[in-house]
Amino acid sequence: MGEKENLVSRRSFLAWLSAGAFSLMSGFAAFIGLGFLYPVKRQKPPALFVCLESEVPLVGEALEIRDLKGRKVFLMRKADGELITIGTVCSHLGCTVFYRPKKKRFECPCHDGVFDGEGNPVSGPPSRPLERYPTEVREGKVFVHFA
Amino acid sequence: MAFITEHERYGQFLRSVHQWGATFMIVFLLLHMLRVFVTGAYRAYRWGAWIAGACLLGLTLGMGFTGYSLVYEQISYWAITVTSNIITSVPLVGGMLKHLFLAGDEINTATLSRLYALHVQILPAGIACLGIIHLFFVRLLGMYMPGNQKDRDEEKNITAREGVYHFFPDHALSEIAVFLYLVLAICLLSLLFPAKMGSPADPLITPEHIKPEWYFYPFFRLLKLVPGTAGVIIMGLIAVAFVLWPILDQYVFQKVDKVFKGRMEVSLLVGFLVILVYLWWAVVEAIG
Ligand code: FES
Repeated sequence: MGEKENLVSRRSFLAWLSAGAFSLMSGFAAFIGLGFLYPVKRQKPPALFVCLESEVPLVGEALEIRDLKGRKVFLMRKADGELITIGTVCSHLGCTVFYRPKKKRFECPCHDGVFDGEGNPVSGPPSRPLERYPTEVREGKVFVHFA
Repeated sequence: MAFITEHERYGQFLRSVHQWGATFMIVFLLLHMLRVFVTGAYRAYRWGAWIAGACLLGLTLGMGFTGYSLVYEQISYWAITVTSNIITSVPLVGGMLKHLFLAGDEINTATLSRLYALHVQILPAGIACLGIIHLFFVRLLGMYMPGNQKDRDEEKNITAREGVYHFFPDHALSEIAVFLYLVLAICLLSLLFPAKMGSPADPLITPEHIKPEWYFYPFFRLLKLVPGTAGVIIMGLIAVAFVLWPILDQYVFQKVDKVFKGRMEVSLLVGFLVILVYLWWAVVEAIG
């Protein structure tokens, strides 16, 4: 008897085991459940046909198209021929930028932010580039994945 | 707004008076603060009045902002956009605050109702409460008397000779006189430079030349000069320093004064520097 007293009884062992399993399971459920607080992010938004590749102007010029919210977006051709789609919402505080074909750059009227022809910040307050939407050409048609 | 301005009888006049009145209010607030600052009236534990007053200035600027946002011109639209993005840079809760401010993720029909509620209910209520607190602190510690002991003795002599300056009728009469002049000035300005409607808000295009109202020019300049979110953070720090100025003065500047053995007043120096930069930036934006 004396030896057995020090051992954990069968009853309390089972109680601890089930309590442990219960907390483990509920913790796991809570972890997954809390994940639902944040909406699922799709990897890549669906593609949208915007125009024919032949309609995209030469390097340095921009084709004005509209995104799903009706906002202006520029479709342009890089020097290496790749097509890029650049949003016009300034990365500083959200005004709409203008494209200046002569200077090949974007300018923001609000706080004089300037971006180069590919939307990277050059001068002024913006520190992040303009939004880029994934663009692809399939069979001569241009598709843009608008977020 | 367009109906009031362009159709209703006397509507434009009414709007103009509203607008000029607001401008006057901000001008006089700034002048009042300048006087309090220059005379050092916030010292000697008159912190409460200054802090309440600084918050009042903030609320008044908020009234100005919501006021011109509600006109829903281009300048309104883009001011709301920029402000909402400034709000986003508040740490942790920024996104939530922006949502609260805009009633959505972007400017929508509910945004104007929200701004309207701010303009006619929440901010005025805040101004009334803080105003009472402001006056309470003034009564608690008494009016600040500028000058040294000699001036104060002089003052007592005048009072002894000519009798006490009563609130009624002495003070009330001069107040009424000033009030009448102000009403006249506002009416004249409203007739000469009436409020007009700017180009209506267009969510798709920011106009090429855009500026906020004049009293925001210095902040506008600051945003242009300091890149990224740093500008917003500096703006926040300036606001905090401004509100807590008397405390800064007592525990920092006056300590530094001791190092110079009272040969100069650091707080005055810093203050004047700030005022100069403020005016400079305002002028740069005004002519630029
Ligand atoms: S919003 Fe474009 S520079 Fe500030």
